[in-house]
Amino acid sequence: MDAHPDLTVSVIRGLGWFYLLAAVMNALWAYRVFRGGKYFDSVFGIEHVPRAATWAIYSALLLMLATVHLMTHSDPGDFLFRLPLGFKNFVDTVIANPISYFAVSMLLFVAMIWLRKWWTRPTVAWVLLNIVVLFLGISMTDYDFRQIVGKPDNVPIVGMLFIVGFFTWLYFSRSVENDRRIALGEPKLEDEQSEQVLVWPDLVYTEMICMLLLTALLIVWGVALQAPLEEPASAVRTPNPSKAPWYFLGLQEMLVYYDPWMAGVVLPSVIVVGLMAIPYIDFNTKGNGYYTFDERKFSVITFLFGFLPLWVAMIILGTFIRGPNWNMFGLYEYWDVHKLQVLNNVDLSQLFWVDWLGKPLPKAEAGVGLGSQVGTILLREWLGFALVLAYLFLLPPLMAVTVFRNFFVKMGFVRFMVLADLILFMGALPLKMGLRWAFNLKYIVSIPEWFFNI
Amino acid sequence: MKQSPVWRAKAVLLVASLVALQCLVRAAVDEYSTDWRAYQTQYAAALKENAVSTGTPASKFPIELRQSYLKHLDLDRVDRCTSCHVGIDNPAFADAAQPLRAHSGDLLGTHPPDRFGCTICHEGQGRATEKDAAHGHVPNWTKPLLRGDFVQAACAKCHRGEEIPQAPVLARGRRLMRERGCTGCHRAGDIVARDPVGPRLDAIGSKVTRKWLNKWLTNAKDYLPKARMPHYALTPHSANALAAWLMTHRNEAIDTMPERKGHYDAGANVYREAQCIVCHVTKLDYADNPVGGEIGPNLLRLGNKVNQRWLVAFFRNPHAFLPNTKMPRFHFSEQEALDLSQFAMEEWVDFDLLDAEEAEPDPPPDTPELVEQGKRLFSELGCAACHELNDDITKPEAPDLSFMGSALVHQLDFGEAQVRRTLPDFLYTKVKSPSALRPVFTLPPEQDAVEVIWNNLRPAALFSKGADLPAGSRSEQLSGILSQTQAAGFLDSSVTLPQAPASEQAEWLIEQLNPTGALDPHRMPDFQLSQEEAKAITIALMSLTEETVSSRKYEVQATPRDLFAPQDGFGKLERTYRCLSCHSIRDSGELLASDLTYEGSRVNREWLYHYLNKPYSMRRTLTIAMPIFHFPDEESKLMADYMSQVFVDTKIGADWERHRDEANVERGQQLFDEKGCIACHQLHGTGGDVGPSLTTQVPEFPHGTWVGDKLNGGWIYQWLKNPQALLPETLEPNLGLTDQEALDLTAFLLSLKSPDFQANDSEKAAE
Amino acid sequence: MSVGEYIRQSQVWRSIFRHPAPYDRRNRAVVMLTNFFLHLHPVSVKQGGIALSYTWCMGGVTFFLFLVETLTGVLLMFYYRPTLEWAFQDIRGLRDVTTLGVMREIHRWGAHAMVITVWLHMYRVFLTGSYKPPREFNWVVGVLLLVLTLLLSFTGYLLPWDQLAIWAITVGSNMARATPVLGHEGPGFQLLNIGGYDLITSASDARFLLLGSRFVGEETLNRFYILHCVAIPLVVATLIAIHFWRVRKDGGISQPL
Repeated sequence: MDAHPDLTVSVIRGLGWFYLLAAVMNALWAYRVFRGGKYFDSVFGIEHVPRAATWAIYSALLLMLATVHLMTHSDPGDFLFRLPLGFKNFVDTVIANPISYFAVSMLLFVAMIWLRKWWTRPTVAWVLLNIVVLFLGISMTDYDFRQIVGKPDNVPIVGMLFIVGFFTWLYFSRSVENDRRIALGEPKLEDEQSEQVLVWPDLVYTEMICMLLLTALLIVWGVALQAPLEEPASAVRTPNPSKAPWYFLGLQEMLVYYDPWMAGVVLPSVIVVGLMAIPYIDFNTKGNGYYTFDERKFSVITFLFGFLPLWVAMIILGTFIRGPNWNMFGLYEYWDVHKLQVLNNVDLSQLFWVDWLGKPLPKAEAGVGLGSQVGTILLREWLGFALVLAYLFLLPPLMAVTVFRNFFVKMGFVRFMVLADLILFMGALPLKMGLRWAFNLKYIVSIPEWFFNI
Repeated sequence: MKQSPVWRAKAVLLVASLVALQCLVRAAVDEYSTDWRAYQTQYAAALKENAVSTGTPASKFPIELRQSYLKHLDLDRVDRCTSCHVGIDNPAFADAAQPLRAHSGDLLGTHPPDRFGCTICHEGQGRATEKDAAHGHVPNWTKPLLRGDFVQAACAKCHRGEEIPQAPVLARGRRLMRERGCTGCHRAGDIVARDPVGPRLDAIGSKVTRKWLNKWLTNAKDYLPKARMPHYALTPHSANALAAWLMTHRNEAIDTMPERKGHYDAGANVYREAQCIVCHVTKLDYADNPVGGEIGPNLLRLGNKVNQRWLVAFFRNPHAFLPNTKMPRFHFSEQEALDLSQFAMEEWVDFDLLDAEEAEPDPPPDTPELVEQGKRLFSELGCAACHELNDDITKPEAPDLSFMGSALVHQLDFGEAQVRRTLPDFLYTKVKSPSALRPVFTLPPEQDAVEVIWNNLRPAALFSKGADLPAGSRSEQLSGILSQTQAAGFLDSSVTLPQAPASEQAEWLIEQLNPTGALDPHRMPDFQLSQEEAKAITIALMSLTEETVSSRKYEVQATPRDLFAPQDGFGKLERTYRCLSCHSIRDSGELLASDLTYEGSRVNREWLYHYLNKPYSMRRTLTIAMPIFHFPDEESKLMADYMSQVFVDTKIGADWERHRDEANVERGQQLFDEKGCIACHQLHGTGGDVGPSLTTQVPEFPHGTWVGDKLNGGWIYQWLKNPQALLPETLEPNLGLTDQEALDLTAFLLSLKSPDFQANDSEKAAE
Repeated sequence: MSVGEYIRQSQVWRSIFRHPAPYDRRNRAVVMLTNFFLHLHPVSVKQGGIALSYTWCMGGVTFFLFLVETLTGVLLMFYYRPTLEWAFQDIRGLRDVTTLGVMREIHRWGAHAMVITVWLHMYRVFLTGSYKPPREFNWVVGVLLLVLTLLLSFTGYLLPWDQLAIWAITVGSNMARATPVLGHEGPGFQLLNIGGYDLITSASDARFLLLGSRFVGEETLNRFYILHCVAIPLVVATLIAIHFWRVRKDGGISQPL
């Protein structure tokens, strides 16, 4: 008997309903396109084919898929629609490797901005949504995927991904439209609805409807999905993996690259302070109260970079991909406690003294005075210290005279230094990631004697 | 200012309100319509139907949540199981469908649910009120419901170290763990074996033949289908190395014994006198079924295994070789031992096997290197766990199983095994076929491939763990490993390393080795257990939990058994002749022969003395009898004196002694006829064969053998009054005799004395 | 006279609702000015400012979820006891036997939803540039509310006292051990010492302050319970009031200027 069946009857039936929903969604979409009244000039010799036909065919295919799932009586083991092993292995390889994972998320991020005019088109967005929905559906045929996605605490996170995706799309689609209009000197989307309306009834009714629907949603959610409750607390049984609450998994992910004092205290504080500082360092007066990308490229890219790849993607990583022993596991991979992933990371001082200079690490003689001990440590770590100090204090002036020249002129010294250091702190995480992957670098400055490692 | 139509907003608001209200109602209904409510309704309906038979009026049956709240009893649990299993204590529901069915068996009598709850035995989640959650079949509940025999695992929570009749499988598992040597490597809580389970190997080189040893090590079951030694899947090379080292353990005294032949026929006589067949399988019947006892090993192929010289020495004094054996020390003379060995070597031999062995070429002489490899193997395979040896070899360290029953599933390494991810499945698979849990070996990243391969080679594949990795470049090291695995017989000798970078060569080597099973850090051998045995051991392991019952009130300690260990002269004799291998005395020993606890009250000393010198079979139908030990006279005397003084119960004789004058032999004889005793017992050659004859004739026995010669009056009286009180399993009916009847019958039976012997007796008296 | 009209004419009704039915423009404005719950709003807003595709409604949803959490939380407090003996059993009981036990599920899911919506609210405010003058300070208040929302969720995470709870809090609070200077495994803790005696030990550092103990135990449960049910909600409520007030004072809800 297969202990971890990829497919069971109930999974197949569930997927049937899922595909049925997708079919209905696409049928509605086909209707919408049909109402739009666009035509292909010629398809396979047939002229004047409505564009909606493509969607109608697609919906019909989905409907057939749903029917097959709902009606089949074949043994789940023989059921045809499942993920090919090669695909699973490919995805696992890409996802379970921090380098490719981060590279893919960066690639998506760049593409999102670069191709914003393309992917905000309704048709493209709808196709993308369909791809995601199909991906989710077909992935459900994998046992391990179901295990991790179906965990009660993870369900809201899956929902969050769709919502974040939708709102990001909404933002880009509105800003692309606004930017086009601004370039042409036309009134913005927001300007079209500039007349005053009474709050009663226009806003108050909306609020009440919203509250009622939310109440309904919460009740359905609460009845349908039990909130997580594991076995009673035991101070001696450490679960593997032990995870922080999901919204802090970005911070926990930083623990891989930084010591707790940085990842758990300094960087979170910098994040909070940095967020609060935003209104005071953003000197750009444009883009106040309307969606735009072109008018505030720098601030939007920086913020999106912090929110999407560095926060949301890290939560995905921490929730779905980090498994036992904090190893990375592919979406379709069994969380094997015994998966081996031994990292031999080295400190910068080790690299510098031992590997490059061929000398042993400077070491204080036993019994020497405090001053001499401190001196030895500083000597051992001088390169790391120099790099860190240069990064935080030498780089900002350098930025001020080069790429950020305009900023510096407009912002003045203090504001610029705050901006520069905030950006540098934000860059510290991807930078350390890169160093780790490229050189197996553990710490830039490593003073375990003082719990001071960077 | 623009204005939206209010009616549309109102309509939407109305719809939203209805949706929200609907959800609220649904939530309330959902909360109310629980499974247990449905089951209890069903139960109430069933009660109504069978109102007469159950006695509980259905109208008095409230539908409500039911629970055993055991907080105040320190058990710290709330069991709501009876909310669904509502008919648990209603015998009328013995055959009802679950969940209403009554509890099987009579355990609820001694473990009332209101005192103990359910989950203390059955595990599961007592507080939960939905089926899957309550049965613990949900993630995050580490103790799923125990069903069937597996419930016995929970008995050990309270019944510590005690074997209780209600948990036979658990008891069997615990016994198996001791007997099969589990505890040689593993610590397992209170399951402890006193002695190593395998024989000492000090003189193994003098005892067995080399060819036999090679075969035995390769596959013990070939030689002896019931062999207890687990299967190690040694390659012929490894088995040869191990044998080479074992053969160096010799006994000089045996090796220097002169080579002599005995007499087969005389040996056969000794064999019959010693009653070897009581303990050993010594022959096959007409249908080729083995005949003989199972206390000692099967002897049918003994001649293929041992050296005759060793056998002679062993017969003279088995305890010198196997201190813990159950085999008694017989008083064989040197000639008798030699004759018996001759008989054994010629009678118990598989000639086909012998011919096949002789046809085999002799193996090349052992090199010191081979012996050294064997020594390393012996220690790496953990042989020392079961076999003692004079050499300083440490016992293997295996995982501590003392809390195995509390292990969490995600901590277990299932490898690629296709079994359910549960603790019982893991344990069963591990016990039944350990290799099924062997992970497919993959190279961990960022580690030295060569070292990883080297360290994970199974000891049987190479002699690696204790040995150093061959020196040289990576490729040279890899080809060194390759040639060693080829030498060990794991890989075909024709393959060679491909021309490639070392990392690819390592991967190639792993690919080659994986199917052979040579890469395996696990060391547990295959015990080749039956399904029942594996299940029993699984249950025993599951019983080893860290969970203790919080209140001492519930803990039942094993009653310390007063183990009988005779001292002084008799004790010494007992240890020589191992009486307790067959007899039992005060709960010690085996039940193969009669219980001797009150033997002194039962028989008279004179008869006993003579019987020890020359035992005979009491019943014609029995072929098995006590062996003839040829005790020296002073030993017989000592044993007879000791038993008639110590193995007595003064109560047994008391009534008879007080009233023996009132007994009447004639009335007794009349009673004997009336009660039809003759139907089972023979009297003067006529009568049944069910019980022993009352006038057994044993020619040449120096003492009378009739019932009056042998038994004491007090015993007969007590026996007649209530035979089962003395021997619970006896077939003798309790006739419900009055005191007077019993006295008379006793007097009659006592009067049955052998006439031949009475002459002797009177002669003796005259002297 | 219809029944509805009769009720609306009665003295009781008119003593509660000072305004006439909002059927015309004037009375619709009066409603907003005289009703306590509604006077948070202005009388009129720009139509574009309340379009859902513009506001995403996430701030309002967050506030509503806060109210839901308060309501369900108060109901849960009637049942739940923050002690080692009872905490888990009470939560278990809410699921198995307690009437209205679904409140716990709603509370938990509402908390998750609130964390998400508060992020999305910030996301929208940033993307529409609504933090720009004159609303800088309200953004700062918003950031504080976001942090407090996370802390509310974090402190509530411990209360079920299951494995998920204590280990998540253990992992989360272990970081406090490494606070520079103030954590006993943080850089520079040796600086705080008098005559060679460290002031910062495992029993006096930032983590101890958070947990009330060297490890997550009953003191922690009590501390988190009070933080979760009393201390943080009070602060959050105050800050919400400030946040809303500043929305009105800083030029109304975000809209194209």
